[in-house]
Amino acid sequence: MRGSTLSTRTAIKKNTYIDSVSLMSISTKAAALDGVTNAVAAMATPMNKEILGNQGLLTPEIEAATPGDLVLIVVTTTEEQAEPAMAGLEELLVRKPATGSETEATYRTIAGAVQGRPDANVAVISVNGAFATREARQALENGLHVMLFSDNVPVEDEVSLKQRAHELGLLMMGPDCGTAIVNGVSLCFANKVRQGSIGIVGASGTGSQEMSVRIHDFTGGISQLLGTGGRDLSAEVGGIMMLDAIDALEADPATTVLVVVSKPPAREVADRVLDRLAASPKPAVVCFLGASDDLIDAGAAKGVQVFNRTKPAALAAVVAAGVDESTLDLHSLNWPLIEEVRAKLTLQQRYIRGLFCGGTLCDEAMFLALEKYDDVYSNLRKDAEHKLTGTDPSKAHTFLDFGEDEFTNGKPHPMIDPSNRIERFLAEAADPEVGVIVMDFVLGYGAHPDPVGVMLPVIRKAKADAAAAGRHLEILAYVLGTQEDSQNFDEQVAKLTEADVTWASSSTNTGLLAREFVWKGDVA
Amino acid sequence: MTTATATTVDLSLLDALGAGCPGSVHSVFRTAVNVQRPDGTLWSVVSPRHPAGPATLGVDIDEPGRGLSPGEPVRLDGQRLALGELSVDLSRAVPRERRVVKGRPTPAAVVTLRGLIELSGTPGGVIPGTGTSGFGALVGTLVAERLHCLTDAVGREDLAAATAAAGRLLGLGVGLTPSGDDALVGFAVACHHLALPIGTRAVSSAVEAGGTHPISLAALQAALTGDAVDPLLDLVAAVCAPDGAHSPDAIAAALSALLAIGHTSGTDLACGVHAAMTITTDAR
Repeated sequence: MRGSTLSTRTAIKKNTYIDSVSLMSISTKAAALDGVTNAVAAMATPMNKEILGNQGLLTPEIEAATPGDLVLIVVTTTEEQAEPAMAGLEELLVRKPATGSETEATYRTIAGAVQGRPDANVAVISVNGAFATREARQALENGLHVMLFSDNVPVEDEVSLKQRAHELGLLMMGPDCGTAIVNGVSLCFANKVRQGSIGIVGASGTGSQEMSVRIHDFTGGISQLLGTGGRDLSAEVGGIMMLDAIDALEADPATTVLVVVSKPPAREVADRVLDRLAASPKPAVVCFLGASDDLIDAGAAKGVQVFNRTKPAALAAVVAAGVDESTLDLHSLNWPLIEEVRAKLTLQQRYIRGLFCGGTLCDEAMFLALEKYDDVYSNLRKDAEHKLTGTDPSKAHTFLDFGEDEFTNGKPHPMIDPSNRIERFLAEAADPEVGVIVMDFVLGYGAHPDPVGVMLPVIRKAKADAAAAGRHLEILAYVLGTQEDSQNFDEQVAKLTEADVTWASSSTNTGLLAREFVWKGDVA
Repeated sequence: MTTATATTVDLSLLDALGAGCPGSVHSVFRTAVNVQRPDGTLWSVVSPRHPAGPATLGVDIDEPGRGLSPGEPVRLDGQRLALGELSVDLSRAVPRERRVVKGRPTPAAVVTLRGLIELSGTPGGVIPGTGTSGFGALVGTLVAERLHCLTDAVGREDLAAATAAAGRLLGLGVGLTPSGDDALVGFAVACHHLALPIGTRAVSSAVEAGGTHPISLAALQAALTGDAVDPLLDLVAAVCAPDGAHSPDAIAAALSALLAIGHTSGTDLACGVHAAMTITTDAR
């Protein structure tokens, strides 16, 4: 069947029953096939057929199908894409996603898993926040360290869990902890980095990833990367896990340098962490993003190096671990590039629009913009005057973290599902006041298999639309990853280059480049 | 030949097996096999991953469906059941007795249930999925709207409107068991236990008119008698605690087990239960 602009293919599988989990997975994967705008895999009940009829998708063969038959439909943007898309959908159907394998074992309870795997000592828990506390407590009481990926856990539960873990001599990583590397094993979102002697404790997921990747880039290596969850350094939690993790790394013979990374902490907790690090015999480097000069000076007074950007912190860590700084490529800021981009932008194109998957990457770019501009808005800002919600239109310089709850409630994290960001990107690209759109692409375990590739069609379209309107659209990308990551860092940046997208070498450089691209000097 | 031991058997199925002639394989999944009796009704053989429920035989192996195909005969030979190459020892099966629901829901318990569903439910069925588009998003919206119409009509004791709304939910939605069917199952079970005859009759009329496939129909027919998979009955029992003494933890635990069923099925079942409960507590 051919519509006015779209092409449709249908197929009926007689008396075919496929479990819902596989069916939904097949539909989702089919919707991501090249050119597919709509994919349907549903039972041919009269009600479903009525809806398909209303959508102009009912064919005589679907009309003749019975409720026990499975209907497959793909709608594509061009006729040429239709046949391969239907073949792809049928292929997905043949190799339904496995729900288990010979090497996997399923346990219905934590206690059952402990019995079945007495050698295990870590539980990674990812359940809805309403049930997370109970599961985490069970794991602790069964003698397991816990990495709690779940968010939406009440802060009083977090304090209680961390206090109990402390009493038991266990680590309570999380809630809302998405990154760890323990004894070389990556948990949840993490990058494949060199093993070494630098131990990281991170209260921010992508901040920890950025720190580990920069250390890898600066030829250093990671002994352990322990997450604490984003609230650990708040006044309510008091850094319980951060202090326990520092104890653990101090006792770890493979760790010679301690690194702490966090979004802005509560001041009294920051002082507690600095005091603890100052008392350690191992050298310590701290990155408190957006830290005030006062906090940096307080660290210096205690003999602890405190930075408010990730890149100089990573450099200090590798130097402390024995790397000769003079042998490193420090990726200094590319001023000729900045001048080139400035020349392409009109006076009207003066704002940054940052669309991020990684909260800390968003924070760092935002803090760097704040050093130069006052009119900076974000869903991460605390003050009401500069706070945006996910549905608010952008104002002046806007930085959005698509990993925040308002975007992820009932939806996968943007590192896995980029649909929210794609929608917003197209809106920003059409704004004539936009000077640069900044996006991050996070590689590594748990992330999208081709994060750049999935954005390329809309990037090309936006660039073409801007050119047709007579303006330059500058897109600045940052790919957080290593050559060892499965997505292949080199291939990802090659795709960006091919699409005329500028890419930065670090999170810090991303923020610096963005703010300089749109700087109008005295004219502004 | 693969051997397995039956661990649980539903009492109604035990009676049917006692009468002989169990049927033939209807549909096969990795962890469950549906068997069709000569009269067209279904019963199931399920792995320990599945909860016990009506017309269900639980076995101790993870993949009872491995190697089976639809149409293969199912035979009973004394204490052994043969499904193709799978031989099941029935002698040690523990009879499943239906959960008992004793109390009535309080408004606070129903609000707790609603909050937990919103917090924990899987979007894509009755709960709209953000960012989804096309057929799935549209039918999700329609299921939610029609469930609301059904609830409203039963609340007004308008049988004609309730029957029409139930009929327009039947077979509507994505998934093996369409979301509308799952919502109707939850709704019918709750109506049975809350003594809401208009609701029960509306769903019954819709089911009699047909419009969905045999797997959904089996669940709907059981629901009309108040029976369903154990996690759904556990949820109804947790919300209807005797003397109104519900425990949010008990509701959360029961809901957690229910939400693990299927993709959105558990959520859609819970939404159906919640919808019916709002009628008696006026918590709409």
